[in-house]
Amino acid sequence: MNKLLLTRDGKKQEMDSNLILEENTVIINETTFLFIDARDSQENLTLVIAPEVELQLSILGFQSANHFSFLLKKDARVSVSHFGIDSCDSYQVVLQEEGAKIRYCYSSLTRNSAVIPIEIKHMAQHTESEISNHCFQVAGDYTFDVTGIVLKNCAGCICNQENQIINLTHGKSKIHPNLLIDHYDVVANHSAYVGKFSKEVLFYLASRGLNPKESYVLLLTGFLLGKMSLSDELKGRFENKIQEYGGERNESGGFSNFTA
Amino acid sequence: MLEIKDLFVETLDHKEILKGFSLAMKPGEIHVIMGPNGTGKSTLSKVILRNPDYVVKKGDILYQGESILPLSTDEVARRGIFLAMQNPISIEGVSNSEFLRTALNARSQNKVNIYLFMKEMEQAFQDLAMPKEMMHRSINQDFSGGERKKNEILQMKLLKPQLILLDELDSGLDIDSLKIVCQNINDYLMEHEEASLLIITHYPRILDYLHPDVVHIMIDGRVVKSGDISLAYELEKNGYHGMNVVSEEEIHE
Ligand SMILES: Nc1ncnc2c1ncn2[C@@H]1O[C@H](COP(=O)(O)OP(=O)(O)OP(=O)(O)O)[C@@H](O)[C@H]1O
Ligand SMILES: [Mg+2]
Repeated sequence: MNKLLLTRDGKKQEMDSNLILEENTVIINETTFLFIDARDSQENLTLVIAPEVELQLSILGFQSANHFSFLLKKDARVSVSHFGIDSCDSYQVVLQEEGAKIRYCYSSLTRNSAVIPIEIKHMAQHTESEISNHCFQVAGDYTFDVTGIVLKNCAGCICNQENQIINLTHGKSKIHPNLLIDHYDVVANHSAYVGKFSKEVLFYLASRGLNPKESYVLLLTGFLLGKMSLSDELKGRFENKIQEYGGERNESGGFSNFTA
Repeated sequence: MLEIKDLFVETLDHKEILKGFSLAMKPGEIHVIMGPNGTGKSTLSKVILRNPDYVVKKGDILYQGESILPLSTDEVARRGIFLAMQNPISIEGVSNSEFLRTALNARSQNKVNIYLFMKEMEQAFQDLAMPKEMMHRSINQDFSGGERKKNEILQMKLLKPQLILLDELDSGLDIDSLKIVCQNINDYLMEHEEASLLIITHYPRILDYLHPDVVHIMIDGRVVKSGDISLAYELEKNGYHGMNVVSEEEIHE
């Protein structure tokens, strides 16, 4: 797999020759997998996906504040599984040419306050975007600002977004979904949910013998990673991160880092 | 096995539901509770599982000789009490198999052996005539009413409880499925002689398969009459009004 490491001190690559890293741009000329491991970084990275190329991208952001821009050429297909821990990564997608498609799963597990701007722009006919943004907010105030734009004369587009924030405390959580559609022949949906894991769900899991931490880890893993397409290795790694984040079980039956 | 003594329970906003409920079950016994809608049967099952929405004001619940009132839901479950719920909920993103493996890990010191676990689970799917691919689907997500009920019994088979509460298991199951599910329960009881069953139901049909030792009639939060299986058939014939157990105005419908 191609790997790109983003740190405070800059970028480091372990990439095949078919990926070209120039300054802040990665050019993807061939169907491939890419893993971006971002720690503590604040990069502004653009990925250009060439015509008919398929990209499977996984991103792990740890205490990072990166902005990712995607530029999709004709019939390019991109699937992104982007998991952030205490990070405030944001992203923008431009579906520049006909037939470009993106599926973006963004999940964030955080105790920091943040406003996350996300934008999807359809600039050509028959382009499709399917995005879902999930956040589990342990503390702080968190906002998803999600805008879907379909320009004039872009017939046959699909522009769907689904956003959810589960908050553990009484911090403010907001979802601002915007759909700016300038053409009639377009499928566009959005859904938003802000709340907690339901009492009924927690009771169901507890009635099978799961303690609060085990329930939360299971629910969180489903909520944050359930929609992603990840390799087994990355899936295991992301799951471990969620467990670590939960911390040790404490005496009151809760667990140190999620003080529900 | 289970002894419920003069139990008074109310909701968090002080609505009284159980009003002096008592019941005693020995190991290996099968008991049935029948009663009108809204009489507190599901509430009773949830209170036994220590659901935090209900407050015990008086009385006690002893399981294997010990009060379970101080325990949390997961502790009660790990001691071997299982509730097949009236309306099992669905949980998106959490697969059946992942969930069961976590539940099994939660009750043993050692991690479950994945290979043995998969084998046992496949067998259970087969026993219940459920398609195997369901194990990879999210818990009850897009399952039909009957499939959800079967899934409850699947969990029971794997978690191996000592006390099993069935809250209207028969509602939603078609004739053949009810037979299969009851066959599985009977096999389980044969294998686990000490295991006891508390069945909540509206109709005696399920009792054609699961043969009860005692039938209780519950009205307005307590048991008003107990007897053998003939009580269930009498009830089916005459309805609660014809049972001559309480005055008219006490019957809620
Ligand atoms: N959490 C709650 N808050 C308020 N009222 C409740 C709560 N739980 C149960 N009740 C009420 O308590 C009564 C008993 O409910 P329960 O579900 O136990 O009845 P049931 O005997 O199982 O009925 P059915 O046969 O219809 O399943 C009902 O009137 C119900 O509305
Ligand atoms: Mg009920």
